Amino acid sequence: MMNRLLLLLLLSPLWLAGQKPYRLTGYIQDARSGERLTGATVYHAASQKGTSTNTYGYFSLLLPEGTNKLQVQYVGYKALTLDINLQYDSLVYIHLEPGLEIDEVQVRGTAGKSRSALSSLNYSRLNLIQMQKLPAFLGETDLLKAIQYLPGVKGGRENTAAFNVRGGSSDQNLILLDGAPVYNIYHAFGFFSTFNSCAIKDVAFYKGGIPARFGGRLASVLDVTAREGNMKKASGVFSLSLVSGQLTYEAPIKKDTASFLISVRRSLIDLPMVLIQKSSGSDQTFGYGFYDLNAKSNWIVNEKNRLYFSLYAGRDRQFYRSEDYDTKNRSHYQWGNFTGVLRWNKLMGSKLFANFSLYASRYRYEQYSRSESDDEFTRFETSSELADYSLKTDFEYYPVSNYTLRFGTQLSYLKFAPGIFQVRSKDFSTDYNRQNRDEAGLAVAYAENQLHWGRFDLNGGIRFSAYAHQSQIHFYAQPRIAASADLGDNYSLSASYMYVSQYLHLLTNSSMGLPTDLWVGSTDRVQPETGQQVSLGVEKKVNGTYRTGIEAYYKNMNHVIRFKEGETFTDTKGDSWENAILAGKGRAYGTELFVEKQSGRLTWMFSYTLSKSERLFDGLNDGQWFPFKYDRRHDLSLNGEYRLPAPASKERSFSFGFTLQSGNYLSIPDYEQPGLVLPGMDHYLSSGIPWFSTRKSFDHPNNFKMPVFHHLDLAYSSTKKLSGNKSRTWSFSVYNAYNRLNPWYYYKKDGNVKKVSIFPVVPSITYIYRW
Amino acid sequence: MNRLLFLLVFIILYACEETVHLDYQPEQKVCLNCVLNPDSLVRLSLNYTRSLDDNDDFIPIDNAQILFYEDGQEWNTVNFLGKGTYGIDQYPQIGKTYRVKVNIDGHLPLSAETIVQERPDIDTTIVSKTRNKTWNENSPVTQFYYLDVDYQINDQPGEDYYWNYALVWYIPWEKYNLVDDIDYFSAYADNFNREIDAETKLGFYYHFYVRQTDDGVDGQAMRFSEQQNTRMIDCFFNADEHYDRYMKTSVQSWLIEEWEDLPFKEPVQIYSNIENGTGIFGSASFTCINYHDE
Repeated sequence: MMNRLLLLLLLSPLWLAGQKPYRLTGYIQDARSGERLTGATVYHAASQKGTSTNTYGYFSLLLPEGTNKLQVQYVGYKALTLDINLQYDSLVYIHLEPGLEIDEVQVRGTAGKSRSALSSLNYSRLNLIQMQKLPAFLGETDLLKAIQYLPGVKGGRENTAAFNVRGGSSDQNLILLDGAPVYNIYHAFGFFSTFNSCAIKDVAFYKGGIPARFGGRLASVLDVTAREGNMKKASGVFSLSLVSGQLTYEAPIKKDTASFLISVRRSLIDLPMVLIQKSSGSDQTFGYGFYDLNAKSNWIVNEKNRLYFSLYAGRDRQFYRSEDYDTKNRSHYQWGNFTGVLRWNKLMGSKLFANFSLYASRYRYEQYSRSESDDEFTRFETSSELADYSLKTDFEYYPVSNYTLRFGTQLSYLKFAPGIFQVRSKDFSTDYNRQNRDEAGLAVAYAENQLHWGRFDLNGGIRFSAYAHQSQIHFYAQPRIAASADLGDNYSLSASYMYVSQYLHLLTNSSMGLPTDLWVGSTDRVQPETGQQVSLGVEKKVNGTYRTGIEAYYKNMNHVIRFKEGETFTDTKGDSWENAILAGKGRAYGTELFVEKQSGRLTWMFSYTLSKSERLFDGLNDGQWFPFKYDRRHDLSLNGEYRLPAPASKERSFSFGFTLQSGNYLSIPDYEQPGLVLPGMDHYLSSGIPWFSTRKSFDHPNNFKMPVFHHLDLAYSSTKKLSGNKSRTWSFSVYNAYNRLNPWYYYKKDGNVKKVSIFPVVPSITYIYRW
Repeated sequence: MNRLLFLLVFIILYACEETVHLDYQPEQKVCLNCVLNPDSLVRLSLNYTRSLDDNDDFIPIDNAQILFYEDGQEWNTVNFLGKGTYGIDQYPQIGKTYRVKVNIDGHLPLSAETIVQERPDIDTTIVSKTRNKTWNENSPVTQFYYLDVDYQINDQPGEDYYWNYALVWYIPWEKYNLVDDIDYFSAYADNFNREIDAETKLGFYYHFYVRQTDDGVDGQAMRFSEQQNTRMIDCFFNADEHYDRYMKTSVQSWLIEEWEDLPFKEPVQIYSNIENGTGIFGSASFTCINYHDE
């Protein structure tokens, strides 16, 4: 094993000193690109002290004077052991080489971590290298589908990117990209996420004991950090799948000082469709497509200051155009996100790390149609928009080696414009729902203590939030605490408690992540959601190869919302959304188990969740608890990779993913009853349409459990290393390898109940070229 | 456009559909349906409910003992008319409270109560009359006049729920048909079934009915204007609170059923005021205005 040691020391006046401690701070980064590594561990065996890098690759450790042997590790990189002769407070840059020996701990799904107050079942860091090798539907590696292999995380409908965590709904997950929330994370009506895996550097996922520095959602936090750009030389990735093409290019602006990265992904579906339509001379064209653009730039101003600017823009668009002899019609349906983040890292002495962020995040969908002839025109436009402008400060204070204090603030300005209609014609012009335009302010302050004391780790904090809407202020103090104890013999015990509030709500009829889902804010009629969760678990490491853990949790939720009966997201009544919803309660509890094999040619992770999730709304189900739509009693996942023997110039592997879940719930009619023919509708009786003489009764929401859901996905990946740093990868995937026709939904037609399945066996191929 | 979008999605994604039998057996309930109308004899139907995948006719209940009460007093003898239908050859009276009790062997007693509403008191003024531009002496279908009409509902004290629908004389079939879409502006209209549509004159229309309430204007005059024509009959009925909710949930259910192939709807629970059963016991009183002779 080749270890590469590269060390840079700051010059300071030399001291003649005894064994007084000195502070070692620094950054851990990729040796080839200069990317700072998040969550890399630095361990001092002699004192049994360790720490991990923060989001910006920074660490701080108090060590005795003299020579100190440190072990530095990070997933997907060669471990490094280095000796540092500490004579004064020092700032270092440690470079790790990418690559892994076969027997190295590979850490599937979850990343290895230093001692933490949070259990592996509450907090995980995704292994992005292995995520890229998971079987991919239509060849699209998808972050949000990868996390659905984790215990306690369940997908919505089959093959959708929307996910539910520990009985929560999909809008209760906070999705951050470089610290800015992303409000619609779906392409293609929910079948793919907006995250381009080539642009991602790190993913941290919390589903219990969420630290006080995060807030605003009840169920989970998915903290995604985009790559910064290669500081050393130009490089890139080009990939093609059945769905999209992707190009990522990164290069230094000034070597080791500034760099940029641009990543573009675009769907391919619409291109051949439009070409065929135009070449056939058709007077109609229609199509659908999407794109993502990630751009990031950073500048190391000096050792103590660094600036980042990151941008994300993405959009889905479905369009239609037609022209006949005197009338032109055009319409489109589009939705998308925009986020822009400006950040400033500052080292304020050796003990204080600061980050200042300014961001804007906007989600908008619009539907537009226009019809015009020589003397007439009509235009119809409906739109929904949410804009979030925020200023954040985050500080990390390292007074002593076993204690870190995090604290910070946030100020946000939110603008809502859900369901706005405009209608224009030659004789008519009106707007609907202008009263829905709204705005709110949010102020947050938090303090979070991270303490390591002997066998114990503690993360305790509190988050204060005040949400102001018109004349009303909702104030919440949200305590958070997580603790773990090393019981010896590689056993650890952990527990957590959290109280969270949520001021934004997603009105949705399904978990598909459809673009017409509306983000709305709390009002005087719609209270903020609140929730509490406790968890208790045990973990064990076995022989350094296996890791296993089991954890139980209980959570309750207040003021959760859902559409009233008869309301759909397709509603175009022009009415206020507040009239269309109900507020109620939720509760969920369960046990999660995982077993992981972390090293060797074959690595895998098995997870199983036994859980229950319910809801209660006045006026539904006679005021009794009923199952949450995505309450799946059993959820079992197994995913793994086998690395085939190969020459040095090649890498080959098989991977698999198996999912077995209890079916989710549907609301089907409890019974049918004779219906009264409504006034004036007597002539419809002869039409044969059953509605006129029959009514369906839904006494009990979510009363029917769909059959067991399971499918097996397989993939084979082969990478050939070319000259220089170039490589070429072919991946072949099969979704639903044994063609299990899982039900997607049911409906009744022509007197028969029909089951619809939409995903049979689906093979796919992906090509990736890196340079 | 929404429909085109969903059709596109469905076509792209459609893979497999099969007929199934659901392993779900709900309890069987008794359904009572009766709407009292001061202009009609009393008719009541009793049937058993059925499961979703049962396509047989509803099973009528022919052995029920039914009692009617008018303002607390037993009212007339109920006659069995066959196939689950019962009746009283009397007209219910406006302003009176009626209660029904039904006993069926093996079931808990059913009961429900309603008050018969007054008929809508409506004044109309024809403001203008314009001959159809495409009038053709050889085509009876084109021979009608457009009318601009001012309406005034003289509301009575108490809760009232006015429903408006229109029938149009359809010459090929020689019968009146329900007008599917109604478009006029009223400050008292409920928007639950309103549809925004740029291609209509006002930019919106109501599906089948316009529901108006006297909320905030109880006992006052409710004014609005409509455009009619001489093929139309414009009908209003005043529903009691129960039939009003039954109507509203039924119309909502129909609007959802239009999207029956799509999985995105929140189901609608049809309103029922039948204790220990299902169905509806309500009242509706009608006033119709026939413009045929104008």
